[in-house]
Amino acid sequence: MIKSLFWKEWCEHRWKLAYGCVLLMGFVAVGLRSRIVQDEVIFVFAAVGGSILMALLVGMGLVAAERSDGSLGMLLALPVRSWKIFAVKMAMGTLVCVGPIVGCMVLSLVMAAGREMSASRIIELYLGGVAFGIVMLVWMVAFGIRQPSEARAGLVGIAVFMVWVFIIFLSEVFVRPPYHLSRLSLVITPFGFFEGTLDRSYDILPKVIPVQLVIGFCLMMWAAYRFGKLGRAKE
Amino acid sequence: MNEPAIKIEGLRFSYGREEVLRGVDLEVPAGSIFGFLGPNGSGKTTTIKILLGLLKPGAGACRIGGLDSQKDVMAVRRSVGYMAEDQQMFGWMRVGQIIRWVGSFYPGWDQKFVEELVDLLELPSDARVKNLSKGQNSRLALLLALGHRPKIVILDDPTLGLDPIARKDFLRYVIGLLQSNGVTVFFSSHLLYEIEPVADYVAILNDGVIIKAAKTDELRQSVKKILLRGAGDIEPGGVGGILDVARMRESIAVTIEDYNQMKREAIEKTSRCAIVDEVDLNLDEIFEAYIIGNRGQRVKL
Repeated sequence: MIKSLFWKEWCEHRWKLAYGCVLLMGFVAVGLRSRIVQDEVIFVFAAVGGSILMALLVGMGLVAAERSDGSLGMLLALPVRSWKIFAVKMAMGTLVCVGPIVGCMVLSLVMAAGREMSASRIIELYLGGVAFGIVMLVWMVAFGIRQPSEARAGLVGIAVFMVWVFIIFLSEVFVRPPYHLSRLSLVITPFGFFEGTLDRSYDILPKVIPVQLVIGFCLMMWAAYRFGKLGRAKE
Repeated sequence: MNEPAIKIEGLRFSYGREEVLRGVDLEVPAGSIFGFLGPNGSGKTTTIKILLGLLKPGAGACRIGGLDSQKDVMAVRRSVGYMAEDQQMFGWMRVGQIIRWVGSFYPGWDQKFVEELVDLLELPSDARVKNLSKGQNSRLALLLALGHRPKIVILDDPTLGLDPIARKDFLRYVIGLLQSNGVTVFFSSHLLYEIEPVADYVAILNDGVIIKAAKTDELRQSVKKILLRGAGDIEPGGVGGILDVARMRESIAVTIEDYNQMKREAIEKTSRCAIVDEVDLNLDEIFEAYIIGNRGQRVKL
């Protein structure tokens, strides 16, 4: 039963995985080969840009696509608990979201480990991207689960990202004592992962990881509950 | 006495403040073809979704095949065949793929029977679902609803959007496949003429309540249109069961339920008119009388 659900999700999302891999790994390969810019610029662009791009691409199609083409009703009427369907969707979504970034990491290690940056540093950068992508996907799905079209789900994803950016900017205004909101904003938004990996502020990671795990878990519970209710919308 | 295949008691449901079902009571006898009639927006699909555990009622209870539709949701879905209104399927899948995929969710899936159905329903196994015609799409949805050989089949407006030929074709398949096998068919529709030849029982749902539930033949026999002529007038309050009163040139046409000799005499007495004709109605006309009949209007000749 679960295998069948995975098969369906794989068939629906494999082209996104292929697209992400070709686009991002192509960029990394060409960028590292041409050496127009520093390797770090390529890595950061692939990790940060790639995670945002893939989260948007996957998050748009995970639930909203099925709502817009009307097949969600059939899926929810099957003799399977809706939370299982949702869990499989999220698992496949996460795989497709992080797959190209992990691919870029492997390619970067093969092509440029030890050239300008050590292998462990390259891995750190990409893991920051992977974590950011997963958190963005979780937030996007949780807040966009009731959107009736992919475009609107995409807008929710962009809005989520902009809210995070806005929180970071706002926290900079109150950076001086007695507020100290700057670090708090890095913990409640996934930008803390980049702070920890890009800027090597490793001390923030023990705070960011558990906070993001708790937030992510709560959002997934909420999303799973709302997913089960999607069949209840008035026709 | 056999337990009814479907039993609904005091079912209430609201979408926000809009009350869609206002105390629905219904019993569907096992082995019958039951026509669930009602105009668009009357609550047919909502009732069906509650039966399948897709919606939670505000009040009331449903039992289907002896199972509680809210407590035994998965068991209900495994044992019931369901074809949704305007069912959209995964367009990228091929017919053979979607059959195998849906089958993997049902422990009692009968692949041999399904293969026979593919031939019988003339479905192209290799075609993509998105390339099927509307008629083929409906037949595929029917096949998917029957593949696990359910004892109860729920068809929610299954011919919606089909042209008349495809509709007749579809009904032919439904009757052929189900009627002789003792399967209970709960068939919702707003197209009366398609229900009439196949349904043993009908229930009319209007504005969230069942306004009539009866055997199809009994309903046809009990509801009559009578033509009155004379100098009097008809006052609906005087005789019970008047569904509609309309002026027709020099006579008055009265549609009345549970029509019998007593009512005939009562009408002649209260209206001071003579009954000149009694007309049998088809289900379409009966439905119309129940739904849009003007019940309370006084008509003078």
